[in-house]
Amino acid sequence: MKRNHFGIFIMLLGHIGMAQTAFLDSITDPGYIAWEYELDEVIIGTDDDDTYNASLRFYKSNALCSNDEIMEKLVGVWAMKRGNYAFEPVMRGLSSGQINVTIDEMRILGACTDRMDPVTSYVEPNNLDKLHIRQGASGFISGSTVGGSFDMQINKPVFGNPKQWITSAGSRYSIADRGFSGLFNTGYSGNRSALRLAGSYRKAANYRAGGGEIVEHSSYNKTNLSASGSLLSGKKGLLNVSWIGDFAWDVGYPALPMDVGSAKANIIGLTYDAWNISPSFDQLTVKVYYNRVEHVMDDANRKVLVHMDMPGNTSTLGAFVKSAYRIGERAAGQIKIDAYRSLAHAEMTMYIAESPPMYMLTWPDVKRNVIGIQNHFAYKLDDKTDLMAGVRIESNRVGMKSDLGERQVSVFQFGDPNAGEVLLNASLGTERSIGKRLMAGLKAGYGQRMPTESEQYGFFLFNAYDGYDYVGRPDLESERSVQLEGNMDFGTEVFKFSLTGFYYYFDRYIMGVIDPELSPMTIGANGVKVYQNLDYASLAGIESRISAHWRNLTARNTTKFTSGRTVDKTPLPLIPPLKSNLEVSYQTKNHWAFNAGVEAATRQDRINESFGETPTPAYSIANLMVDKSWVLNEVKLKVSLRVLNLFDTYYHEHLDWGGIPRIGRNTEMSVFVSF
Amino acid sequence: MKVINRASTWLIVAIMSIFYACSSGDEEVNPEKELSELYLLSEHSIPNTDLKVRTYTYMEDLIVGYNKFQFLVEKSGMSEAFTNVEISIKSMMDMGTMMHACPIENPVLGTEFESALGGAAVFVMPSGDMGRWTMTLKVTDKDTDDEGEVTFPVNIKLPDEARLRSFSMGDDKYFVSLVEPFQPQVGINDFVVAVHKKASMTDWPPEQAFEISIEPEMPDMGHGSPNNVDPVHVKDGHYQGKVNFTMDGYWKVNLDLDKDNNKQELSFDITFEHSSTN
Repeated sequence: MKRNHFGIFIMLLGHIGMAQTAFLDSITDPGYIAWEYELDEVIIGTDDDDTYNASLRFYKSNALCSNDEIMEKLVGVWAMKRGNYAFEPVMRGLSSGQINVTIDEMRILGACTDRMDPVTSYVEPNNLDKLHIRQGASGFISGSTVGGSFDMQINKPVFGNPKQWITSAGSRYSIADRGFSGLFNTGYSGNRSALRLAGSYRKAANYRAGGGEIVEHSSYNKTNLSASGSLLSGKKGLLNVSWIGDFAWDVGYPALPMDVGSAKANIIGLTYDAWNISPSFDQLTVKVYYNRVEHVMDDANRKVLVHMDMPGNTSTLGAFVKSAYRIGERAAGQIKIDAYRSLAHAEMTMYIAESPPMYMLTWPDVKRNVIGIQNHFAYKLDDKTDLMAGVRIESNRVGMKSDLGERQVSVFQFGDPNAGEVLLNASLGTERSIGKRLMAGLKAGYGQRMPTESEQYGFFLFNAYDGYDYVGRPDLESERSVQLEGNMDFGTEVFKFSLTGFYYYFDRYIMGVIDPELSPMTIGANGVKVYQNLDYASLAGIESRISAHWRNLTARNTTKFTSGRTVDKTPLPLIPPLKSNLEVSYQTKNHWAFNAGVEAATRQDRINESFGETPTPAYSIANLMVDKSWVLNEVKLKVSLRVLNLFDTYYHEHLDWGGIPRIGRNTEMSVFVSF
Repeated sequence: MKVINRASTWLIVAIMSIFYACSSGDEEVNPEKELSELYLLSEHSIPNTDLKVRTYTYMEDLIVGYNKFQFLVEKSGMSEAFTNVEISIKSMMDMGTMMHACPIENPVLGTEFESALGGAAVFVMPSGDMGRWTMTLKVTDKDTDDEGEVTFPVNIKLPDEARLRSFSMGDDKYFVSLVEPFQPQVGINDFVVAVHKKASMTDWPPEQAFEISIEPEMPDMGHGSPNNVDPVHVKDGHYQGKVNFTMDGYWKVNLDLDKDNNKQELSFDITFEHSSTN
């Protein structure tokens, strides 16, 4: 349970490819179920990281499972579902612009006005190395935030591996969605240069929900490619260039009135790391990145009166420099300066026979320029007590580059647009060991975030959940939050227990409010909501983790609960109910692994009716998995069989858009080989 | 330390330049429309004077509805436009057995152009088998009091979307013509209608006693738009308000006209398509 914050901040910097030689060591480690495919976990991050990555390792039991599955099992993280594809992360009831979802700390803006393409959809599990999740306003990693950061660190090439080339391939078939996936990775590991190439392909048909119902418009196709090359420069420098290309087509979204014909993301980053620069500066990272996302949404496959096309694209150019430092024996920190500019364009054309097409901009070339400076600092008060403080100041400039957009929005006669604000994030915390096995911590935070492109400039964006068209308000102000979090960890060799409680108070909370004066644009919509700053909203919750490890048997439980309310005392919408996960796994010496899991959520009837929410029934499902691995010289082979939703339960989670049912009993078979 | 200093200086400079590079907006200059951008309808020497009048229109074709004109007068021996002039328009429809005129707004100097006279005519029916339209300009040189007339035929077409509506109220017949939006676009548009009464075959005076309210809708989608301003009488039978269009496409603006508790409903279709110049 002893924590070392001096180490933490070095780890925060992301990892250096040099050290990653522990490839597939975990295959012989009985502590984890099954195969830790390429999770070359050598750097132990912060305590938060530890938790998440231990979970990640644990749940990433199969190289061919999806990020979505992993995400849903993390503490304090939920997945919002609009189909069988690209779940959107929700952290403690907060999502979208309230949290920052990044890849290697690169800002990326999804190009879909309906949030069909969350940033998490661009990383495949075979590329995901670590999750760096920090909850709340103190969790600023790459931008001001009220809800925290969800940073996915992707696999980098490995230096100095005795085996120069490592290649792996795998394939999976799942029955309920007639899904096929295949992946291929290869890596070159030299002394001064290293390369990693990875590719995967997924394809699924319409899936079968519990009980047998086929969920129409839920099929998808996707290819994800990535390449990453590193060069050592001198003894203290490392240059890396990485590219991710994610290409999806014919993706169905049963919860939405539209599907996606094509979604493309190209993400490029150039990084230079230098370390051991001086006794005070441990590491310096300089990164420049660019990404472009193109998203083509249409309803060509739907039976509708008015067909529409809603293409969108975004591009982001950014850079940051960060450095870890120490002052004497007791203090350490990390300073970071970052900047990015992004541009978001989305449009909508509606076609009616014998009428001219109707056209409008739904994101009228919204540009955003951000520059920020931040510092995380830790001070060791005595052997038992650590103090931590962080501060970030960010300048935001937001505007519209389109004359048509200006004219569109002029119709509403809103106040002067908010062209930008200086945002502040600050946190103060302490952690203290009580005896050898108990640790308690307390953290206070303040955060601000700018409205999103949709909240400020979105134009009649239809929300299929509540059936309202949403109109952005250029004069919205930033959302602000004051937060308090307490945690307690207890641990022995065999048993670990941790409990976290939090309370978030929001001021100027951004939410859509019905404007009865406006008529909806979408046929059949219930009305129009305009985003507004509400005086008050609050969130409170409790999360627990329990793990027990005894001989070859491991059991884990995570439980999470969040409750929120708005200014008029009604519940905040889209807040999940109590949810709990229990998994027990057993691993034999000859590489058999068994895993049984139960996932359950209570009924959610704390709902917001004006948001169109209806109560969601409680559910519980069970999963079973068995793996067998063989190691033959340098060839490693693993075969897995999983049965998910064993009792074919018909259910959905509260966050699932439109209450579409989740996948029913699904038997999956996979084979994975590496040499 | 040196490495850090150099690197961070470099990066800060880079970041700053990214951040501030975008402050220069694409300012669009909107120059005043040149007379030469209008359509030249006719060019006539005026008998008994030293004057020549060029008549410009705002559309390629004259239409049933409100037509704006600009008149540029030249006087022989002068290099610049001659402005001390008075022009009056008379427009007649010859239907064989009968003749009738139409509402006219006589030209005034400097409505839109310093050196030209702006006027208008509301043609109430198209040229065709029913009859032929002529336009007569009576021009007075106020320097010399010379006066002359010229009459020429004009061809009046039906536009794709009607810009003129007529109705009877009591014993009177009224004509409502759409003046603005002339070039409708997404956003806030001026909305102007001109109302004239047919007092006799030759007398079509402006009518200012109506109360008018408007409501735009997109018939295909069944939605409207917010913050429209009902037209109120300004002068010469012109009622001015605002109409808001939230998107490109086919719109319909519904009008309720009210005079002495007599009510009349009518509408104008207004369609405009997206051009890539947004």
